[in-house]
Amino acid sequence: MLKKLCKKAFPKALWVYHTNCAACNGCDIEIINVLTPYYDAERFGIKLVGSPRHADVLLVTGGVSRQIAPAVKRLYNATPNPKLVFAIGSCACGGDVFFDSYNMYGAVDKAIPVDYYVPGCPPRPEAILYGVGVALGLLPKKVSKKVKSDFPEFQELDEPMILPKEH
Amino acid sequence: MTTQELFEHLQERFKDKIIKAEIPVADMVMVTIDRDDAAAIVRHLFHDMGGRFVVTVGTDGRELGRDYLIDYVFSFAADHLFVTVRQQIPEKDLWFNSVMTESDLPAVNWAEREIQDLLGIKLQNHPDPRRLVLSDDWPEDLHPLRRDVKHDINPPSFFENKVKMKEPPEGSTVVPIGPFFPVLEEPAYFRLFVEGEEVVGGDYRGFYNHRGIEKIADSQLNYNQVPFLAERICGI
Ligand code: SF4
Repeated sequence: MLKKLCKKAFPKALWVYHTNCAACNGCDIEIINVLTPYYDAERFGIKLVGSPRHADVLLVTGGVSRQIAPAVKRLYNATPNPKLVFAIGSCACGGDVFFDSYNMYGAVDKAIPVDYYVPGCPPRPEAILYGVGVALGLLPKKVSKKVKSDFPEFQELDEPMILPKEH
Repeated sequence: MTTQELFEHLQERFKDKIIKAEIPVADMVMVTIDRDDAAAIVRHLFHDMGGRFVVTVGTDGRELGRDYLIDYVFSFAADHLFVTVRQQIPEKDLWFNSVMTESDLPAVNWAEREIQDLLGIKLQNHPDPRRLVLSDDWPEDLHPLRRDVKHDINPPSFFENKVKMKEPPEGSTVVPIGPFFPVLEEPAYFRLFVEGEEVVGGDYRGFYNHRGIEKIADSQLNYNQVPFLAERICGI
């Protein structure tokens, strides 16, 4: 569904707005890296813009702190529809080491709806590009949903493992 | 200047004010002083002796049988010396005097406000004692860096004491910047007061990405795990 929508809504260049919620700047550096001539995201038509009102895609790095949460919600509302939200980095996907800290509101998907997750601390530029490629329908998903019955060789491990006795 | 000379100099100069003076390690002099007299010795170290102001630290020492401690650390780089000016704040009577105006040391501004926020030691005689670190919706009487507060405490939002921004001077226009702005590395909120093309003043509200790193390191991790967290303080 989302893929179809992507194909329809974003056939040409994607304009990206990058926000740092409460990130440590590690992920932001990698995003800047993606835009350098070496990785050259502009060949896919990806362009950084200076205002959320011009953007199709929000790249959100960092978990959402209590102080920034209202601002992120306002930012999401300011972005015109249709829009995609990418959570870049472990902080944005699940909170990383700060997940239960007192001043954190939570991961990004607690504050705003997230469409794609790119984990890693920080994710490599290739990973970010891959995520965007998957979203654009340029690439197949690397990880499809697997359940345990897909792996017959692990079935027997359901029994508690008995470790050999030490001599 | 050696440690011993500095030690003797300070003891002679502030004879009647120093409660305790000691040399805990070879390159450090530590003087404990009453909170009313701290400004005088800080002024002497900074302005008369040319020490460099390093840091101000607040500590909750109650578990160790001490009171709250506030340390001002100065360094004398040419002599490889440090001086720590320590105040003990009793738990029953939690306040301390700002040394910012009295000893003309603007650099302590944020450090003192941070201690007020995180440890709840009331700041007095400070020109700008607003909240600095904690979020706008944090309740007034909860201070996360105290040892008896849990690291994952999640109080309900309480917007009554939202930080008030400064009023612009007469006749100037306010240009708000932030909290999200393409050239800012992290979220921060600036208000510039401009008259024509000239910036005549400003105000700042930062610490949008306060993540409670000190508290996690202090209460959740052991000594060997802290570097893992420290790598995630800043990625640049
Ligand atoms: S995921 Fe890692 S690199 Fe990215 S903001 Fe969080 S701590 Fe920093």
